[in-house]
Amino acid sequence: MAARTILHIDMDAFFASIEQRRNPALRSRPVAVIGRGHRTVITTASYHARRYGVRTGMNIYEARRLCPQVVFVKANNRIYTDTSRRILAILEGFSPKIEPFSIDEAFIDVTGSTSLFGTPRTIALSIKKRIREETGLGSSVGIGPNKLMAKLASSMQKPDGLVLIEEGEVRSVLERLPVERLCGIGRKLAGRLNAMGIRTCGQLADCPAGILKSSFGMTGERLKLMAQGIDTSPVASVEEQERTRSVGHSITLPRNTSDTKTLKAYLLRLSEKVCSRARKHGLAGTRLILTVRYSDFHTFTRSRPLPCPTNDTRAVYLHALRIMDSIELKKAVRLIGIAMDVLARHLCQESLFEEDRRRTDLLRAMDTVNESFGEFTLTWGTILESRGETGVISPSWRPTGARNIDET
Amino acid sequence: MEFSIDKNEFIKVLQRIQGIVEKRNTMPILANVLIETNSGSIDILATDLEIFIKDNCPSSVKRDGAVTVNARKLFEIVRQMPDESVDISVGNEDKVTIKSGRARFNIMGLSAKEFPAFPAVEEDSLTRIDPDTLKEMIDKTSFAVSTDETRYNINGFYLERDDSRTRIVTTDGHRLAIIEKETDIPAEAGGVILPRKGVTEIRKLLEEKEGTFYFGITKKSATMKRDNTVINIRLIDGEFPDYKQVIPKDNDKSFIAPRTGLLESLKRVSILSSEKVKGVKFSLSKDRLVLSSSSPDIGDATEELPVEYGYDDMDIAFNAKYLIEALDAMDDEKVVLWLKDSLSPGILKPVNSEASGYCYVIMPMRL
Repeated sequence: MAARTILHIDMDAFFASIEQRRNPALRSRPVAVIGRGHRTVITTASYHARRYGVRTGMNIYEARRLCPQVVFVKANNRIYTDTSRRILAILEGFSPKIEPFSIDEAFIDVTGSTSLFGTPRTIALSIKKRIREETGLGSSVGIGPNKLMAKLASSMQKPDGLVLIEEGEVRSVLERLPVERLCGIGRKLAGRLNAMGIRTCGQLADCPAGILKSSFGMTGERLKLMAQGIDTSPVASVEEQERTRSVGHSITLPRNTSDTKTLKAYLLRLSEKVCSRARKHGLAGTRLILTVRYSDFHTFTRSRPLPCPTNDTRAVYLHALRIMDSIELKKAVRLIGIAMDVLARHLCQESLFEEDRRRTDLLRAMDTVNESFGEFTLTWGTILESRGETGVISPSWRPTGARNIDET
Repeated sequence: MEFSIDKNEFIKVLQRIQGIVEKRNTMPILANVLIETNSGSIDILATDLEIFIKDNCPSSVKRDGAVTVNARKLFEIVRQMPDESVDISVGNEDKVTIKSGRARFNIMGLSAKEFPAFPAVEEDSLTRIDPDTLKEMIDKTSFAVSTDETRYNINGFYLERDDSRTRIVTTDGHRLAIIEKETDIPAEAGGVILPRKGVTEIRKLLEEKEGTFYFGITKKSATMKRDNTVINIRLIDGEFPDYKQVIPKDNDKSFIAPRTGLLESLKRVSILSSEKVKGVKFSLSKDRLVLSSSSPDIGDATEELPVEYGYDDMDIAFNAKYLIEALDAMDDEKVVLWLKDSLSPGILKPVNSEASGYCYVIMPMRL
């Protein structure tokens, strides 16, 4: 593969910084963003709060114990997703090859952009500047010969960092780097490697391939390549990466409930989320899967085929209701979710009846409005009460793509 | 209650009701069959509250009475009995004893009082009908009935009558089948909707060729009677869509094709349509139809067949399944498909459509 230049842009304490930007009173104080639910956790802590040990995933009591002066701010997911989209739009000005990695991270391949925008470092600086000008937020940028190295580079100097790892420096950078610093090596995998006496990337790179293969199978080979700083995966949009096979959403309810009316309102909301996403990507559901989690975390799913492929919210909602009606709830429900197996609609079956066609047109019109003004701007009266944000936004949220996203 | 009954007669009746008894455990009594003595014979009733079926079987009654017992178990037991005759008696607390040869079964029944009442059927509301006509009308429309349970108003057969003609219409929202016959089959002018499952039971009864068949419609239900067997089905309480509105009136292009030729080509070409939606493209030019399909993962297929066509070239796509089912149900030698443009519904008819009274409207797929 010809030499590439990849940038990884990572927003600094994304949610917390947005809140501090919105409310100047928060700027000099330790801030932790929490979900809207009753049993929520911290999704992002400001750098100030992090100094006290406040981390993502902690509950409120732990955080308050570590940092009594911490200010909790409830998440405003629509603002975060909107900001994420704006940042992506800035990146699009520098290269068409962009891969949103999460709500606050993205890769951009600038290999072909240097003649237009200058050296990789110049491009990185321009991006950081544009993001700060347009959103008021700080970001850290890593530059590397591939995604793995770019991601490592962006994590090496935070906040407001800019680190360049040149092709020739890869080996020396990795030599003494603990294996868990590499994206893709989690705590569990690192633990297994440590148990084998492998602590640094240098050691991992020197480990005979046969040993790694016998311990980790296919992953073993990839681990060795990663430790050598080799990563050939392209910067690809979500659509290019995967052919979507299913679309789903789930929601942890603000409080456990067995009230069918409440649950039905959530089902409609979830149906609209799943269907609008399917519509946006030209997908139609062939099978509907309902997930229910009880208060004791017992989780089960029920599914049924959809009689004809559809992405009509009403049709999917009615089928979800039928599944729901067939379940005898034994406990209060904690989480509810629906997912659809989908196929791409190359050919679209038209409806015979004017009334059905009008509904298709109506959905199209709704989608156009919601595309511009945010999801659920135009929606069903039934779910108005539950409108507004619930829960916590998932770190896997991406501004584009039809991926299976959970609201947790 | 106590009676003896011929095993094979009993099996035939018990078999017929198996499709109706409730399989889900919502109301235990609905899994049961009601057996009731009736002047030297027994009446056998089953229902799922949508369909009621009543049958009568000659038997030698020793003591009158009534009981309900699990329909599935009774059928299994009787079927396996060693002798040609089965003795049934009811003891205390609805305990049912079934004996045949040296085999003896005791099963717990439920009180006959718990069983839903069979709807009253007035004999004079029934009209004698020609079973073959009704059979044909059902067979040429049943495949287009919607299976989408959330659209209950099209989960059945719309039956209506004006003057001397009776009409059945079915649709699933993408296609619509209409058959109209000069016949005595009674129906209401306003039209009623017969549920799919009930019509399936009626259709099974029509299969039994002998006997005289009577049919009638009341406000709430439809009744079919053959000799001693009576099926009563509750009508769907809903409004059937305005089907007349979707029958195109200005389709001015048509092609004529041999029915079996077109059917077989469609079956072949649709092999390579994607699995769930069998989209097939129709490309028409002077006396020529090219059918084609493709699946991104597998490949593509085309087939050319001569047709009678003399209009502008045209492309249109249909779900092949919809056409295959209709062509399969038809029995004519040649069919004609009337079209307007690639986005408007087509009409499939036998070339001699006056006699058959059949018409099938199908919405295309967007190319």
